[in-house]
Amino acid sequence: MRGMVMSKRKEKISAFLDNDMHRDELMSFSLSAETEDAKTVQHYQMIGDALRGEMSDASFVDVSLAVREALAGENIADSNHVNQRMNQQTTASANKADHVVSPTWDLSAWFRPVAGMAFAVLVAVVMVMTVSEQDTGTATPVAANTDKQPVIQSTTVAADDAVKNSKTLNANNVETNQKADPYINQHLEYATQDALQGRLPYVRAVSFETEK
Amino acid sequence: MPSRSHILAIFVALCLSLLSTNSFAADLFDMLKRMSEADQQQNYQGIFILRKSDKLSTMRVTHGIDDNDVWESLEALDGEPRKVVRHNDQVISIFPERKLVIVRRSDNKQSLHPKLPENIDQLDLFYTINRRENDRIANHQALVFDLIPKDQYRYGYQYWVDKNTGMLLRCDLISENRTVVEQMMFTSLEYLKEPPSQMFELQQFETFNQQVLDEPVVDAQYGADIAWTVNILPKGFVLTQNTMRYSRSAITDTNAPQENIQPDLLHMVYSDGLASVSVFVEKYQGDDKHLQGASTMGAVNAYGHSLGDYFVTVVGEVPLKTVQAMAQSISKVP
Repeated sequence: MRGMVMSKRKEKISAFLDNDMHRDELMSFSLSAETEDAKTVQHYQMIGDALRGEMSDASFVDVSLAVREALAGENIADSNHVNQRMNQQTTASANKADHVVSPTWDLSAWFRPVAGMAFAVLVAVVMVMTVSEQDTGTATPVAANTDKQPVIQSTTVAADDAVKNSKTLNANNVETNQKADPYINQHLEYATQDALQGRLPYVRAVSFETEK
Repeated sequence: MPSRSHILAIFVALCLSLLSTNSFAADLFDMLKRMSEADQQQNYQGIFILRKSDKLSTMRVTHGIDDNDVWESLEALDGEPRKVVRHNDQVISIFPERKLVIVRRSDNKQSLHPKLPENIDQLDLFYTINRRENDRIANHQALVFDLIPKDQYRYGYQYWVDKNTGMLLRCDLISENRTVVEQMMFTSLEYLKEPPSQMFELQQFETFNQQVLDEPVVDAQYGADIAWTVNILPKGFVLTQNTMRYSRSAITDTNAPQENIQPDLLHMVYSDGLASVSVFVEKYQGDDKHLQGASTMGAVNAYGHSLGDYFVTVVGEVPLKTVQAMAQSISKVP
């Protein structure tokens, strides 16, 4: 039952974020009623922003903050550990006991901060790679030869409609074929010069030419 | 507890792994270069299948080369009988049932031999290159590798290359949802020690209706300054060619000031080294004269839309969303 209620609330939040909610519904829907809702809104907004390639700088700050915290945590742990060892060493010296610093202990003292740092770096790399993948995958590809930042993802939804409405070029679609012919021919003629696809572009061109 | 030697070993392994990745990419670029030459320099005959979306066709190919000439015939083995013979820059299509011969001379300014793109070394920036297990195609041992795009704005490619000759035996184009949109694969292939006879005489078709299609271009200006730019481009696509085509009437009209002569068609080609996209810009002539919206032919997609007094058509072997985004982002340089 609680699951169903939660699911309904998530649907409403989704509608609210998509501006799909009716005004009356909007009035009755109080986002501040539950803190869980606020978290869900934040979560949905972040996913939406990432998908649209609109991850704000603030999101990156949060990531770096998280990494810094992880680093700081590791350092604290390590320094506590070192302090503890130092205390043990001091106590041992104070007790005039024969104390030989074993190579193992020495390595451990050296290895742990390095391992901690490596772990933190690994976390940072994973974070950066995840964000980069979002950036190249569904978000904003950067044009190599233009100064402007392209926003190719803004047309993705429209492109889905275009896919549904696209006309297939074949023998049955004479009018479309006639309009498309000159452009496709010119393009394929250029493409046959492309060495990296072997004979495929030429075969494609011949196939297009002879199927008309 | 890891020792110093363990850590050193891990560090060395990491370095070697990085080196081998670079070496692998370099090997693949060499293989791509070898593949591009193999198709041009071999004498061979064979049969291959071509699959475009859900359509399948079979073709017989004979390819010959000597010191002076390159010739090739492609014959369709299903559907309407048809044959396309290419001899240097002349392409002749023969339709026996229709008693029709179409003769076309390709653009002389273009090289007869395919050329490698200048940005081939950057391919690994936009594609993940993977080596697959060796395979056997048409009874020839093949090296297999694929180039999977790092974004959704281009297709992936999977290659089967003859281990001995470098010849491309099979090529699959893979869409963003991992389906094969286009495929070419040899089912039989025989390398010939001697070039096959050129065996083509146009005279034998003298009773056929002959259409000679000359290039309609009166004047083409290559590499000219262009007044249009595509603002949205997938990563790595660069302008590799631009051509302005002028009509006879525009050029022969001596009353018109030279600076006012506008090209009838601007053709810009963008490529990432593997996929190419053509962008055409021309004067708008009315809705019924242009290809409106999206069209698809196997792996080739096209999108056309009007832009004020102009019409833009984008064609390429890339996903539809790419041609659409490019078409809709074109603007005139102020």
